[in-house]
Amino acid sequence: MKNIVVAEDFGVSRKIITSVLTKAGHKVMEAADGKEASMLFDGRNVDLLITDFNMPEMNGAELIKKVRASEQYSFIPILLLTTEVNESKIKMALDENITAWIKKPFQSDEFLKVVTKALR
Amino acid sequence: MDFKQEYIEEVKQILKSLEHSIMLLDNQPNNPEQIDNVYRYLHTVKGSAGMFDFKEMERLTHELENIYSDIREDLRAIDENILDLTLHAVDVLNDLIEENDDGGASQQIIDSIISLRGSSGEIITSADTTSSTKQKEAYAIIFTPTDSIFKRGINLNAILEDLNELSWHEIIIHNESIPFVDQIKARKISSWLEILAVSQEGVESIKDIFMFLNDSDYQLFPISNKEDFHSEAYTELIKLTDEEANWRIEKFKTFDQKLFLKEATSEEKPAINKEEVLKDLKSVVVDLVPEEIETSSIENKTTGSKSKKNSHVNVSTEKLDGLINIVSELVTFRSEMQHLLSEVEDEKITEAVEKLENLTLKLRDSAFNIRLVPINIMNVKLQRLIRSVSKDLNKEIDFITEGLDTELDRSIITALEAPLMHIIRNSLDHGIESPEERIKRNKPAKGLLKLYSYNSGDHVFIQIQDDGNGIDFKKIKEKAIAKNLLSATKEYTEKELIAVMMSAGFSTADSVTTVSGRGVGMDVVKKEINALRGEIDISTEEGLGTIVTLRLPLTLTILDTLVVKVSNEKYLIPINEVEYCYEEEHSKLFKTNRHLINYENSFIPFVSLREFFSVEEYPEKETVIIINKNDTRIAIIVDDILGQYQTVYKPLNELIQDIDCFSGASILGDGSTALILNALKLKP
Repeated sequence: MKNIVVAEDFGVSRKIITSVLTKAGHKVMEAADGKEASMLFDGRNVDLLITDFNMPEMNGAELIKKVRASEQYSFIPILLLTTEVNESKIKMALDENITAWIKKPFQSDEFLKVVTKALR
Repeated sequence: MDFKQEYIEEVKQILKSLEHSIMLLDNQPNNPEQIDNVYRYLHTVKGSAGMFDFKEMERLTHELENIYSDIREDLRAIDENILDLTLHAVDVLNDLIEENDDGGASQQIIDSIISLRGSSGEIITSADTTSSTKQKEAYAIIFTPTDSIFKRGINLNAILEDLNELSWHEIIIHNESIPFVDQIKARKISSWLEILAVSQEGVESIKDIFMFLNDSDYQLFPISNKEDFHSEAYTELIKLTDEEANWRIEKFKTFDQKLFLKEATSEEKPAINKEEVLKDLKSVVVDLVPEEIETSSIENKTTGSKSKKNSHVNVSTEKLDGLINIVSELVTFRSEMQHLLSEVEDEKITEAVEKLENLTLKLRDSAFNIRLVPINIMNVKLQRLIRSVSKDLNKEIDFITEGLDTELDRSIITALEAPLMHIIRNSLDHGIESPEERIKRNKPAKGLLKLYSYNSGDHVFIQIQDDGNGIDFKKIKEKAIAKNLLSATKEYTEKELIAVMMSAGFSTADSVTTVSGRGVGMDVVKKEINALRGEIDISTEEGLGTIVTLRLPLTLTILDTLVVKVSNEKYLIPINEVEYCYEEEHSKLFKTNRHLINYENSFIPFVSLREFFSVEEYPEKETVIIINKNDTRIAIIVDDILGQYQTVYKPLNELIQDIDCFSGASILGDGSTALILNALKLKP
């Protein structure tokens, strides 16, 4: 069982992700914006962050920057959910120190495969 | 305990689990879960052994891991010989970790494993012929990891380990002026890798391993003959001499001679003679027998010195819980004894019972003490959090603590860390104002954050107080209304608004609003505290600050209760909730059907348990118990009070967990069970 923070402002999407991850035996902490997500990191030993790009309060890029800034989470795997189809934007996001991006919508088994890989 | 000692303890634990899994496999050889477990345990031991310089251990587990990797891939069937070999290896590993082995025994067993692997490397059981029809394909991968992969959270070790899932691979490290493991440890890579690999699962299996890497990080070349090493693309990355290319081809051939022969399908391969293989395996095991005796004699010799080395006893929590359980039962039994002997007037017996009582209580206290640790152990972490958060927010904070020597159950403290940090962060972020704002409000520029802790009864209180702006109830109400949690037309008390703030829908709602209240993630915190049978309470004064109070049970298992009787059933009420008891005539209570009684000049609601549990008859004289829990009063009507018991708290089984008027159950002195009432949830 791993601790996973899921940051996604779109409720349905977040619930789906949560249920997929919970069924796979992980503990999921949900957040509806980047700021809320960033608060879930202290003292909880988070193993993986799955975050949306466009969110209120604090967007995905800012959240990632914030999480990476802490010593404990400098090297934590981070998966970025995105609907952006613009290749160059995705490239940029990739360079920005995330482990991989997941294009929405996704198949749950493929999603789990990437998550499992990232948690290795 | 230093890291190494901790590591050693951990490995011992893993080896025990490994042993256990092997025993399970012995009964059920094809249990994939256990095979996975064994593989994982070996893998864990291997991965960490290098870090603490247990070279032999690393080698041995590596070889074993290869065997289990094959089993996982259905390239080899598990059999008794492999299990024997593994069990023997566990013994050797135990010696290695105690540093009781000079490497002789481990070398022997490593050789045995290698010969087992070599002699039967191609064992494919009949059931798996389908997978063997797939072609073995050779690849070369040029892998040039850069430091950025660490920043991206990619686990380089995991990638290298995943290569083990291929049929075969060999890593050639180029440019290794610093050992590659050290480069990984320092997260500074100067080497690049040439990987020769054989896969039966097609090119995708290799791409999967490098899933998170960019095209610029690695290049993949299918290899079908020597010339592929001289191709233009390959030469661009590394120019090989003919000799070097040949060496690589030969390497591939050490795995499979027929690799580069065309159409080397499994049908053309000579059928594997199972008996021959078995003979091979047997001979390996025969080799092992004298060794086994040898190592066990070593073990006997060293048991004396072993116990001297460890002045520190590391007890598993399971054992500790076992002890606590027994002590708790003893406490219950003591209550029963006291009850039974209350009518005996023999002085000697009374004296003996008193002595027993004293000792039992002492035993209980010291048993619980093992688990208790001062809250202080969190202090450094909290201080670091406050330091970094206040820096981030450009706020100055005075952090004052008091009573951190208060002790709590270790498991509670561990579980408390996250919610406490959450609360503190909330205070700093939303409570305490910026220095400029504070000066404007006639407050000192430095914000004050106070954490104090104290015991009260069998509970520990932790309070976090700030002198910030307090909770903005207007905002909370607006947000709650926007999220359809409250109605816009109704008035709400502060208590109700705080309750809304901590409810699940409040902070993690689907709609997006710009209003950010104070309750960021408070539902998570509340859940975490409630899971500890604790409670959270917030009081606030606008403009002056907020106090968050956590009320936690000292331990999770012992409870002082009042035993009450209702008809033929017994129920327990936590004694710290009981404020007052008295007798009252039934007719007087039920004179009206408003179900209210007058207590200390105010009307409080009452619940008759007979009525609640649908027992139709009532006694003439009833007993009223006034419950006071967190300043909420309710009266409970029962038949009679039977006495006071110190009971062992047992959580309810999951079938009735949802019935919230009971918080748990307990076994009474006479062996009967009784439910613990959660008085506030009894609805009048």
